Amino acid sequence: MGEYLLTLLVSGLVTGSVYTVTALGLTMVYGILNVMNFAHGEVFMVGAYCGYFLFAVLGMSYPVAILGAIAGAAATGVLMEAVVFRPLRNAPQLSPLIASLGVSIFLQNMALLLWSPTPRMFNTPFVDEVVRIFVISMSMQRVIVFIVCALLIAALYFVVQKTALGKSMRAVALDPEAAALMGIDNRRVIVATFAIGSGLAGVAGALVGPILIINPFMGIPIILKAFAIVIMGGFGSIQGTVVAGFILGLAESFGILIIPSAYIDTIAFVLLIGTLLVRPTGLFAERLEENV
Amino acid sequence: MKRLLAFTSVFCVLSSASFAAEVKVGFLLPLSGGGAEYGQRQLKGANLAIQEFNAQGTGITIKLLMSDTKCVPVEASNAAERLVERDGIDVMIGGTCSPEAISALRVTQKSKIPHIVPAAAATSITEAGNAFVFRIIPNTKQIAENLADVLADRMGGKQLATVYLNDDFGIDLNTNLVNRAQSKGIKVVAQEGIERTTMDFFATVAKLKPLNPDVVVAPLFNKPAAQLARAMREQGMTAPISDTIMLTDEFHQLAGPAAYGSFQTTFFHPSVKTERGKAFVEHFKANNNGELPGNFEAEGYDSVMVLVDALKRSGADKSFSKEALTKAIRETKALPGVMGPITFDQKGQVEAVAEKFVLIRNDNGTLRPMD
Amino acid sequence: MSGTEPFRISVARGAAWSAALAVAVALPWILNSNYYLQLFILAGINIILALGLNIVLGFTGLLSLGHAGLFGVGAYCSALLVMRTGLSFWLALPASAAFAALIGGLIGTCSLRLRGHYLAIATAGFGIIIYQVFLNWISLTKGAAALGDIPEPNPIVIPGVGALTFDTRISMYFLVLTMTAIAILVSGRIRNSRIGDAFFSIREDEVAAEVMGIPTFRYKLLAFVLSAAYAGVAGSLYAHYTRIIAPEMFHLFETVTSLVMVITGGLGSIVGVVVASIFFTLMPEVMRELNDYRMIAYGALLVVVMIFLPEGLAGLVKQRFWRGTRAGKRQEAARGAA
Repeated sequence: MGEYLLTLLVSGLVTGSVYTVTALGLTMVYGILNVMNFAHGEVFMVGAYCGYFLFAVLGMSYPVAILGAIAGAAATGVLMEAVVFRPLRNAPQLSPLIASLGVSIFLQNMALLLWSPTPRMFNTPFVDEVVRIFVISMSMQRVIVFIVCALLIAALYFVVQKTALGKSMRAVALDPEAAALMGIDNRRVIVATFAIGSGLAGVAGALVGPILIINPFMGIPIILKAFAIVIMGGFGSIQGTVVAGFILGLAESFGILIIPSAYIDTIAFVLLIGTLLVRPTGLFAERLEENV
Repeated sequence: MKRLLAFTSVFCVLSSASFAAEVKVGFLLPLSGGGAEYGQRQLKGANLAIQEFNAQGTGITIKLLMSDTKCVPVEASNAAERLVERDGIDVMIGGTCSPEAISALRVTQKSKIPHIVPAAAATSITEAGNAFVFRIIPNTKQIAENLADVLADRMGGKQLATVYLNDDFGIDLNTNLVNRAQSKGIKVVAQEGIERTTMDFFATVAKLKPLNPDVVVAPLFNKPAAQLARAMREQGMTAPISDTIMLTDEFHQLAGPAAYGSFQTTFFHPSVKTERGKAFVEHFKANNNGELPGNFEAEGYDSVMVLVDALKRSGADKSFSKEALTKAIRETKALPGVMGPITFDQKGQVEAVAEKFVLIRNDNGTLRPMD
Repeated sequence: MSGTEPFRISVARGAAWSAALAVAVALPWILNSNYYLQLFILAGINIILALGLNIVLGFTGLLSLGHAGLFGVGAYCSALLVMRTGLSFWLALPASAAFAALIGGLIGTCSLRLRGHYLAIATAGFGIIIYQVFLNWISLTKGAAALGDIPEPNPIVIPGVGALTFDTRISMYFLVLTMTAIAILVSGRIRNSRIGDAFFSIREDEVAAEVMGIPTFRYKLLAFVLSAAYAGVAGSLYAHYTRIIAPEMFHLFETVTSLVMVITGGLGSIVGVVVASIFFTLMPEVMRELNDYRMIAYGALLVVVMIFLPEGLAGLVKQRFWRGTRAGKRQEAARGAA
């Protein structure tokens, strides 16, 4: 039994780290633009496919494939910002939301058309390499996922708290007009935020691709869980997103003890609805939303 | 004189050709979406059979009109309507996923059009009192019970776990399998119903491992099944994976060593020993760049075989009627199909004799039938 | 407060709708094809569904993404009532509408304290939960195996004349046509009433509406309930028409089709939504070869409409006929004040 619980713990941490990295990208964009990007899940999907094509089809090494995934995802994000979000900057809140839903549908079905519905298997050498940690065994791929995600979370925290770019991001998020008055180029900060946020989702996709199966709709469960995490953690709060991300990962993992596997996806929603009812600002909200 | 003779013979040939009866056959299959692979394969098999038949010069030609159902009930219903009302088909072949088959059958039943089902296994299809349905494969209950018998009698398993899709086929198969297995003394230690979107089996395997099943029955699509097999090896489970009709070569390729030892009870394998079967394999290879046919190609082929046999027996070259054709199909007796002998019971269900199943196993990478 | 619309506009509007109704009644004979008639039956159901979404999104400005789930609630409720309890379709229909309205009300009660994206996500979440229930409560819904053999509506016995049965396509067409006409009428009534006024003020500026004394929460909840009732009616008709329903028809992404209809037609415009619904029901069938591109086009359409044509097609056309109406005058006033 101990071995089983330990396996669940490890599994939860790995899943949690992936959720967290993806949700962080979403939180960043929300913080800056006050917009929830429905298409963030598709950026994840694009990252996974980029990684797959570079590694499995073009034969590049895995690290190069990951870098390619980051680039592809970031490019997608920047393009989205320019084509969809910028024109709608001053429109009522509903417009960018609906537009991002449109982008999401568009990207899913473009992927379906270009790359066919046949799911792909993305086989890095690490998937078959088995590692023993204490009494449990798991593939090296999972270990890599966790380590890379943990590093990314730390790196992001560092960038946001300590670097000039990070300070600009926080300033624009807090008060765009004041930031502009202070000489910050809002547009560049926004583009940078989109690029980083999307890049994070892309990395998550490329890391997790080998564990999952790659198909055009793989972004759908991810986006819904990312939303749940961002709301639970508190919109715009990095610490909140991290905590909520791991809570969800662990809840889904241990949930298998009490609920049939078929219902695992509903855990995210139950937690989401619960948060909305009980504490809508989330765990660590940095700003008081007028929504409450 | 020679010219007159030539002209007369040409005229005779042309006129006899123009008197040849044309039978319009509607074909419903998933050509896009999740079941696309199954549909594409059936089509290849069916086309081969039609080509062979049309070349025989019996005075009947088959014209195939196909329509994509995407395995969605409403699409299948619309497609069936189009084929029946707009295109005026005489007979229908079709049904891969069961809900869409049921939906289409409602249309053909109302129009009294004989409907041959190649691949949809839901037991209810032949239990609904439809006098026009004819299914050439065993139904889910028969499939499941066959596997359970194999597990108990031939594989000597004592403990069984199942990982199945939470859809019509998966649930139906699982229930029947478990019931039969338990009645034969096998202990079922776990039954995990999963979603079609499940891609990571780490947690599922963690749950199964301490329960020590001797075999894991996993009627899943190729890729999830391969993921499951690898997750099992990843965590040190040695039990083999087993299935009935869903896995194809792709599973074995993707799972690699994790699939060694896996076995399935299916309807057809290219190593088939019957005359008809061997001829089919050879002819298929010749027409498809050396590719070997599998279950679904065989289903497409046998569907047309049933039709062709019934057409001949009902004298369709002289006069055609749907009633005569339906009656002839119903009277099919021990027709040697590539998937074994075909005889329909009064409900239109093919009799599931032992020859309808073949047990194949992955022996270190090669798929071999086990006798 | 608000004036009556000019008489000539009323006459023009009335004439247009009457002409449309006449065409609709004559349609089975104009088309002379059972196959094409079926498309119009589906169009009618889609109109009702889209009009429901129009009430909550178009009139009141609330993005409710659980609409497909409520459609499913109506469908399953009606099918199960008729099949399990032997209830007549004519009672099951209103019962399903009421039940869907109840669920809509519950969802609203939970979610409506939130706004904007919170609301969208919360309703999407509820939509997913509803879908999961359809999928997994197998003993009730048969899950993915699909619930088939749903009977058509019970025959109506007209004393002295005979029984009106619904096993033919024409009879189903007229049933759906009648319900669609009622749905359009009720929508129009709502829009031109005080309730409609309140809805539109909430959409324009919720805070201002609250300040003006409108109990916004109550009205938003009403919008939810009404739209859910519409979805329930559409669902019941759908179930007894196609006679087989499965959970995948009521997934979150099916809401997108309704969304496309409402947004392209024009948020709040009844005519726009009706026309768009018919168009988007017929087009995929007529252009079957291009079906692969359909969803791509829908996605792009949502983006393009939001950026370039936020009022939808109705916005383009509305200038001449809208200004004289009650709703038009209200909008002008609001714009003037802003």
